[in-house]
Amino acid sequence: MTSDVNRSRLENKTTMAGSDDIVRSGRTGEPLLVVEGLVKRFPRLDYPVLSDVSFEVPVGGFTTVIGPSGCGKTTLLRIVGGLENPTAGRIIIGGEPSVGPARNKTMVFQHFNLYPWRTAIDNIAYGLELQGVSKEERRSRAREYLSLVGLDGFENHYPGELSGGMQQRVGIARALAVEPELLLMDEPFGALDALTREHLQTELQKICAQASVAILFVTHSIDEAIYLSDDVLVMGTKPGRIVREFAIDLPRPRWTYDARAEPTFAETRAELWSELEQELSDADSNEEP
Amino acid sequence: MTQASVDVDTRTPAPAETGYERIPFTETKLGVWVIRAGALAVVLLGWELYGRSTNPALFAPFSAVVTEFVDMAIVSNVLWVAALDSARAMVVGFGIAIPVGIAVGLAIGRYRTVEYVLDPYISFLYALPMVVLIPLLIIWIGIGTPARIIIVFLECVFPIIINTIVGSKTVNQRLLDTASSFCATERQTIRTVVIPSMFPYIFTGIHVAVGAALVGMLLAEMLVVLRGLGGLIVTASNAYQPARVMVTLLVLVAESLLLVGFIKWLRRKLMPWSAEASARTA
Amino acid sequence: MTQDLAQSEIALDHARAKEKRSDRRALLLRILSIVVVLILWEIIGRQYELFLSYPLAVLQAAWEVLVVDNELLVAFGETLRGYAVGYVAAMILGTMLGYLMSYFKVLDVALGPYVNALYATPRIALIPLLVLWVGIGFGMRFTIVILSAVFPIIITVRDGARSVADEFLDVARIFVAGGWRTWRTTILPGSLPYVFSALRIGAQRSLIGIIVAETLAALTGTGRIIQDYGQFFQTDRLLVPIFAIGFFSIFMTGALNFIQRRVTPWERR
Repeated sequence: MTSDVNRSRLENKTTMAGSDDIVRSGRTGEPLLVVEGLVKRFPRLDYPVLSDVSFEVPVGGFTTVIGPSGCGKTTLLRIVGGLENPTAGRIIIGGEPSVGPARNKTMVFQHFNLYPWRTAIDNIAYGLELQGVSKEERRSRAREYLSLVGLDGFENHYPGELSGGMQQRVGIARALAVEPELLLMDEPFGALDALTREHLQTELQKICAQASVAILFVTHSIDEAIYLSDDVLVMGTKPGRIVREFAIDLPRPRWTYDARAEPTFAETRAELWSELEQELSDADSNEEP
Repeated sequence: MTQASVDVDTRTPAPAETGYERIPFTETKLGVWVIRAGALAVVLLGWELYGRSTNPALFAPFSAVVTEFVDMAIVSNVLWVAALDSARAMVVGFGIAIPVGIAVGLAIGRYRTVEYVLDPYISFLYALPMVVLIPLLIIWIGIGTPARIIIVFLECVFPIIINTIVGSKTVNQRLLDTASSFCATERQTIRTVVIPSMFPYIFTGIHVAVGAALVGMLLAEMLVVLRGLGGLIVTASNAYQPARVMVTLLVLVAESLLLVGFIKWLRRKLMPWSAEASARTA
Repeated sequence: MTQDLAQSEIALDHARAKEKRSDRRALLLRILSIVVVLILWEIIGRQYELFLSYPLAVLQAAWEVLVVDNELLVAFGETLRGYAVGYVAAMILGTMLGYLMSYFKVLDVALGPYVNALYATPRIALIPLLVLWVGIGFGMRFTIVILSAVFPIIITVRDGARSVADEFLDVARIFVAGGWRTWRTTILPGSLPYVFSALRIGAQRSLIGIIVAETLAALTGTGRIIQDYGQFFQTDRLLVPIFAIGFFSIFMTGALNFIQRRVTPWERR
C-alpha cells in the first residue's frame, strides 16, 4: 500500500504562543503518535475489526481517518485513547508506549458527553480537577479556554441550556484545558447541523493554531477531512485497515481564503471519493446475501 | 509507508497477541450459576446451622422447614387451602380495581376540570397508607370478605389511576399531529394513537398494583379476618411454630415473584415495542 | 429490556416528581372542590355521625387528643421515633449497598435474587416473626422500618448507578479518573434522581410498615391508637390520625421533592 507522497507542507501551522511552547517530544521531525501493527478482535466476530493498522502523526499534525460505517475507525480512536485495549500491536506517544488512558491525550466526542450536572466552566475544568489543580487556578485556566472557544459569558450555563454547537465547543475546551499532546476527535461535528458544522470547522482550525496539539480526527465527511487535515487515511472495512494515505496540499491557514474553492480541493475530493466508493462496494460484496 | 525515521525505544517489547478478549467471569452464564449456587449454599448452610443451635420456639432450621412443608402441603392441604383463600379475595379486588382505575384515570386525564376537582382526594389517598383506613372500614361494613376485597381494591386502584393519568398526559403530540394529518376523527385518534400510547403506562400501573394487592391481601388477613396465608402466619406465630411461619413466608415469596414475573412476561408479550414506560426519558 | 416491578415503581415516582406546578385556575378549582366537600360532609355527616363524623367534630376531637390530653401526640412521638431512626438507617445502608452492588458485579449476581425476592414480597408478612424475635418495643419498630425501606432503596440506587450512560464513564476514563473519583464525579451526580426516587419510595413503604406493626403487635403508638379508636367507634377521633398520617406522607414526599429540586438544578425543564 504505497501512498501518494507529496509532503510539502507550505506552512508550519504550529504557531506557538508565549510560554506554552514546550516542545514535548524532543526532536522536531519525530512523530508524536506512532500506531504500530494494531489488531483488534472481538470475541464473537470471526474477522478482526482492526487488522495491522499502522501510521504516524507528527507533532502538531492533523491526521484524519475516513472510511465507511463500521470500518472500525471509532474503535481505532478508542484504542489510541486508551478506552479499549488492542488485541495486538502498540501505541507510542512521544517515544513512550502508551497503554490505557493517559494525561497527554484527550478526546472530543460526537455527542459531546458533557456532564449535565456541571456548568460549562466546571465541565471544562474537569480534567484539571482530576489532576488536583487548585480551585482558583483551574477556574482561571478553564476561563481562558472558555474564551478561546468563544463562549465568554456562558460560564454558568448548564449543557441543557446550550445549543449543540456551543456544547461541542465546551467539549473542545474541556479536552484542551489539560493541554494534551494528542487530541482525539470522534466525528465531533457529526451531531450538528450543516451551518454550525462549517462554522466550527473554521473555529477548530483557529483554536488549534493557538494550542499546539496533534490531532487524530475521525469523520465520514470527505470535505471535512480535506479541509481540516494534513493527511487523510482511508480505512477499509472487514477487516479494518489503512487502505490508502493522502497528503493534503492546501496552504495553511485555510480560513484566510476559500480553501473549498481551490482546484486542488476538488481533485483530492474526487480521488478520495473514488477510493471510498471502492471500499463501499467491496464492503457490500463482502456482505452475506 | 513513512519516510520519516521512527526512533522508537525498541527495548520495550510489544505486548504479545492476547487472543480474543475474555468476558469477565461474572457475566458468563456459567459464572452466574456458580456464584448463585455458591451463595445459596452459604445461605442454606447458615440457616441450618443457626437454626439447630437456637431456640426452636423462635427459629426453625432449613430441614425443619422442609419437613413442615411436606406436612402442610402434601400430607394435609392446609397450605393450598390458605393460598387459594387468599388468592380469591385478592383477585377479585384487583380485578375490580383495574377497570375502575383506568376509567377514573382516563376521565381525569381527559377533562381538566375533573382533574382539578378530584386531584386533592386522589393525591391524598394515594399518599395515605391504606392500613389506617381499616378501622374506619370495619365501622362501615364490618368484618368479612367484602372488607378484604375492598381493602385490596383500595390498595390497587390508586397506582392504576395515577399511572393512567400520567400516561394520558404524555401522549406524543407528534403522533397526534400525524393522526390529524390523516383526518382521523376523535374516536379513531383515541383508538389508534391515544390508547396504544397509554398502554405502557397503564401496564406500569398494573404492575405496581400487583405489588400493592399483595400488601392489601396480607393486611386484610393479618388485621381483619385471620384467614388465608396472612392468617396462617399470625396464628402460627402466636403458637410458637416458626417452621410453619417460614413455610408460609416462602410460599408468599414464591407467589409474589410469580405474579410480578407474570406481569413482566405479559408486558413483553403484549407490547414488544415498549422497553420502559418511564416518563423520565428526555 | 424487560421491566421489573422496581422499574415500574421508579417510573411512577419519576413521573410524579416531574409534574409541573399548575396554574391559578387549577388551584382555585381545587380549593373550591375541597370547600364544597367540607360543607357537604358537615351537613351529611351530622346525620350519619357514626360512619362519617363531620369536620367540626373532628376538629373538636383533634383538640381533645392533641392538646387537652395528649395521648395522640405521645403516640405520634413513639411512631415517629422508630420511623425516623429506621428510615435514616435504611437510607444509609440501602444507598451504600445499592452502589456497592452496582460496582461489584459479583455482589449483584450473588445477592440480587434475594434482594429482588424480598422487594416483591410484602415485608409486613415478616412482622409476626419479628415480634417473636424482637418483642414489641422500639427494636421491632426500628427493624420493620428498615426492612420495609431498604430493599426498594437498594434496587433503585443500583439501577440508578447503572443508568448512568456509558458515554459519561468514557469521559471519566479518558481523564484518568480512578474508581472513587469516577463514582464521586460521574456516577453519584448522574444517579441522583434515582436516589431521590429511592428515598421517596422507601419513606412510603416504611410508613406502612411501622403502622401495620403497631396495629398488629404494639401496645402503644399510632397504629395501636387507631385500633383503639376504631374499636370504641370513636369515629371523630379516628379521623384525626388518619388525616395526620396522610398529610405526613404528603409532607415527606414534598420535602424530598423540594430537596431534590435544590440539589439538582440542572434538571429544570
